Amino acid sequence: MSQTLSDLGFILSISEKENGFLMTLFSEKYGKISGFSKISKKDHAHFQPGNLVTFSHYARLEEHLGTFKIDLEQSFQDTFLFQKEKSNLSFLILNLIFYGLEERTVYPLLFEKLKKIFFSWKQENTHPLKDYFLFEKAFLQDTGFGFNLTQCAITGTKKNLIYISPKTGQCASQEAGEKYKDKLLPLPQFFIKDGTHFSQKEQKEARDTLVFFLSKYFSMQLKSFLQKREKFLSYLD
Amino acid sequence: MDHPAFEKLSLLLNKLPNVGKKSAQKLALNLMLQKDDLLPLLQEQLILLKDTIKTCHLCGNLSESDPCSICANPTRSKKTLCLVKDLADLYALEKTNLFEGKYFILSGLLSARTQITPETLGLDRLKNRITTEKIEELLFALPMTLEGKTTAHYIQNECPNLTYTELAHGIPIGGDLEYLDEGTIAEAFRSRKSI
Repeated sequence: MSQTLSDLGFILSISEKENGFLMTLFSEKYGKISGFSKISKKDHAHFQPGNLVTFSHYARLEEHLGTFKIDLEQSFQDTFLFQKEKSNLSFLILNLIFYGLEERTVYPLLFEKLKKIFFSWKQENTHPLKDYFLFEKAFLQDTGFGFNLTQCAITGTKKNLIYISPKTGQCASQEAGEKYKDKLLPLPQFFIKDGTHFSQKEQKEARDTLVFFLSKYFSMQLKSFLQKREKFLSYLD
Repeated sequence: MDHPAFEKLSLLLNKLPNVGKKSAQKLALNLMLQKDDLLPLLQEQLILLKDTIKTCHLCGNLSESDPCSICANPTRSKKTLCLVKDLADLYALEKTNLFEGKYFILSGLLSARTQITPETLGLDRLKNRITTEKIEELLFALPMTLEGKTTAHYIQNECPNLTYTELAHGIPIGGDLEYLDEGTIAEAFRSRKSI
C-alpha cells in the first residue's frame, strides 16, 4: 500500500549518489526515516546535516526506501559551521541519533529537545556543552533508560542528592550513599537543578556518568560513536 | 541479445559513475561496431593505465610515478600541506595554478553514514609526513560541510603546534545574493575588503 508521509525533520546524514542524494532525517511524527532525494547539486549546499526541513516521503510499500521531496525550513549549520564548539557538538548529537535510534520509532520529546537546543544555539549566549550533556541525558531517558533523579532511592529525601546508581539509574543522597560511594557514580547537579553553575568538575562528572550509561546502552558495533565522543569532548576541555 | 561478452562489457561499463544501464549498452554496442579500430586502441590504453598508474605513497595522488610529480617537484614549497577530500578536489585546485605547496588526500571525512572513524582517517601517514618533511602549515581545503569542518577540527587537534589555515568563504563569482544562505552572507560581510 503506497503511503505519503509529511512532517518536519532534521537532516541526520546526506550522501551523494549518482542521480541524487541518500538522506536520513529525524522527524517528529515518524522518527528516523531514510529516502532518496533528487535535489540538485546547486541546492545541495542548503541541505546540510543538522538543518531543519519540511518533507514529504513517498514509498509504494512501507519497507521500500522511498523518495523525499524536501524544502529548507531553517538552516542551523550556516551559524554552527563557523563556531567550533557548536559544530562539533551538533556533529555528536546527530551521530548519537543516527546510531542510537531505530528507524520509524517515534521520539517526540527528543525531537522537541533537539529543536530547542539548535534554536538556542543560533543565539550567542548559550552554554552548548551543558546543552549537549542534557541532550544525552534526555536521549537515555527517552530510549528507555529510566533515570529517577527526583528523590533518594534509599531514604526518599529530596535534599543533597549527589550520587547515581550505575545499576538502577536512581539517585542517592550524600548521607545514604556515603557507605557505597565507591560503587556509585557522581550526579552532576545541573541534571536536577536549573541555573546551577556549570563548573569543570560538573563537566567531568557529566562526561563520565553519561558515558557509563551510553556504553551500557550501545552495542559493540556502535562503539565508534563513543570513540568520536571521547575525542571531541576532550578537545573542548 | 545472445552475446555473453557484450552482456559482460555492458555490466562492467554500468559500474562507472553516471553510466546507466542503457548508456552502458550503447557504449558496448559502439565498441563492438568499432572492434577493429577503436577497440584495440582502447584495450592498449587500458592495459597501459593498469600497468603504469600508481598511488603516491606520500599524498595518495594517482600518477605514473611514486612519489607523484607534485610530491617529487623540488620547486614546490615543502612548508605548506594542503589537505583535500579526494582526487577530484586536488585536480580542481591544481587547475588554478595558484598553490605552490604540496597535497595530502584524506581517506574520507568523519561522518555518521560512511562509518569513517578517527582511526580510519589515515592520520598516521599524515603525522609521519608532517614530521619527516618538517611541515609548518596545514591548509584545509575541505568541503564547507559539517563533516568537512569536524574533520578539520579533529586533525587540528591531532596534529598540534602548526599553523592552520582554510580557504576563504563568501560569494561565488557569478553568484546571486538572493540564493545564498545567511551564513555565507555573514561570512562575506565579515571578510569584506576595501576596493
